Amino acid sequence: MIPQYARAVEDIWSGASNWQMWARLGWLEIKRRYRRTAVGPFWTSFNLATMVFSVGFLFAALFNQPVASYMPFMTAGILIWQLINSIVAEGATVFTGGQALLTTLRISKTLLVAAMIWRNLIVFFHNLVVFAVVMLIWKVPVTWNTLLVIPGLALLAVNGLWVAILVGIVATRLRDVPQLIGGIMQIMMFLTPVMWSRDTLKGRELVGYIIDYNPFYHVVEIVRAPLLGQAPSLANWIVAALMIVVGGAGTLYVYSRFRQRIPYWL
Amino acid sequence: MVRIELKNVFVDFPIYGSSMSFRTELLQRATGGFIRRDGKKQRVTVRALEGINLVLNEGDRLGIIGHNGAGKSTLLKTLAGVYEPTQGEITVSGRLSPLFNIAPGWDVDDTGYENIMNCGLFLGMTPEEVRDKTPEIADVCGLGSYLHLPVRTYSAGMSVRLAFSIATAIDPEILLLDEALGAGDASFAATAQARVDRLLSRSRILVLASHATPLIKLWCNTAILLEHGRIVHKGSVDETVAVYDERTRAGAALLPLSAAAE
Repeated sequence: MIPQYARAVEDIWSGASNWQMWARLGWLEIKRRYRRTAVGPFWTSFNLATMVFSVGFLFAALFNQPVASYMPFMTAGILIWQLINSIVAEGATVFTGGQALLTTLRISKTLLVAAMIWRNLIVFFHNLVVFAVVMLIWKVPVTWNTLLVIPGLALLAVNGLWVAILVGIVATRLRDVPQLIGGIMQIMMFLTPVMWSRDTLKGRELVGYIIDYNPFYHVVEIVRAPLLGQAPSLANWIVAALMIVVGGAGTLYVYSRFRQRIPYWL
Repeated sequence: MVRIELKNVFVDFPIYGSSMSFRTELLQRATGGFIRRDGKKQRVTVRALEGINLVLNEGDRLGIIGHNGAGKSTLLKTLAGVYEPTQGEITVSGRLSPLFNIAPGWDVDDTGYENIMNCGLFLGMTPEEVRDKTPEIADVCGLGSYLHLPVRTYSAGMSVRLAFSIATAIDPEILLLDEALGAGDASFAATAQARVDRLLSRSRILVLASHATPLIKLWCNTAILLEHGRIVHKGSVDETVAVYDERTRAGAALLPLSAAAE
């Protein structure tokens, strides 16, 4: 039905365009989480740094990689994966967590999702400090390609929007889904070139081809390659953009059917 | 033009227990045992509103009377757009201000001033509007320099004063209230009363749900009586209250909501 689509689009637009509100909400949540801690959101950066500098050397040895190229690669990969992972995982609880607001106010559901994505981007920006240190130590070049990190992150965020809405709807109705998502994302981390590079599969091209069908790989790559001063491949851009078109259309369909049911399910 | 129209509105709440988890649904799919053969999913629902027809125009101050569980809050939330009707149609023109929670976004670790902004935004004001109204809110609640401190340090009475002062600062076109707005302590009562009166006179349509018939008599100029999600009486306030009292005496309305299988 056409009016349902119109209302779903209106909800998405009114939520996504109200940047003042989601920027504030996202920031407030960060403030609340880290209130009265000494270093605030840098706690996650600190934890990340500890992990990178301990596990990094071990994995470089395990994978027979030169430390100078492996450390920046892994740091960037983990940073991006943490962003993706928290968007998907928190997407599963975004509506149930917003229950108090969704059942007492007339508020765009997309607004809550946008605030959640913004909050995770803020954490990501804090974590970039760790990458900056790694860049300095192992002399990662800053090139014009580095600027591609901006469109890369934008594509990642828009993909995050539809994924989080979709996961959020399903998880609000079926409360087992958040657990399931946690498990799936853990497996996907190992199956995606985050800790290991696509190049290490040389000689086993078949596995490489399978990896090429992993959508997470392309989304990671459009942000990681620019961070490493390289340009992502055309295929990376195309897949990331296609995901928005296909996934966005699918989510729009599901959202227009079930959006008005969400408060009933809470 | 400010107007609300409900045409034959139904609201059914699905009841999900642990039985509707992924596991049982998978099992049911797999065994086919619990699903009816006609392919229709068996589902328990509670009918919270049934066939509601209602038109409200500028100047209407509607009181919703009814016992617990009669559907008062559900009707208010349906008007607010929280619940979209499962059947029927609702059209609203005008800015809605639901005041079900007078302090949405309230955080005890934020200062008074920060909370004015938090709540103001959630209550539908723009940041500029909140900034314009902040001196007025600060003045009414009378908390002075306490507003620079985290709300955690306030007494219960001070918190209520602040929340109340923020909530009554809005400029609603359509004001939806679940029970009365109140602000505890006696010294504040006169100010509070004046503020509520002014808030009500600013709003162009008022819908108030309450058990307290004296309050409805005071604030409303028309009323409906809800029983089990149906409008059983519609008319002037005195008339509706009389019907309510009579039916309460007869004990007619005290049965629980009936669960219906869809």
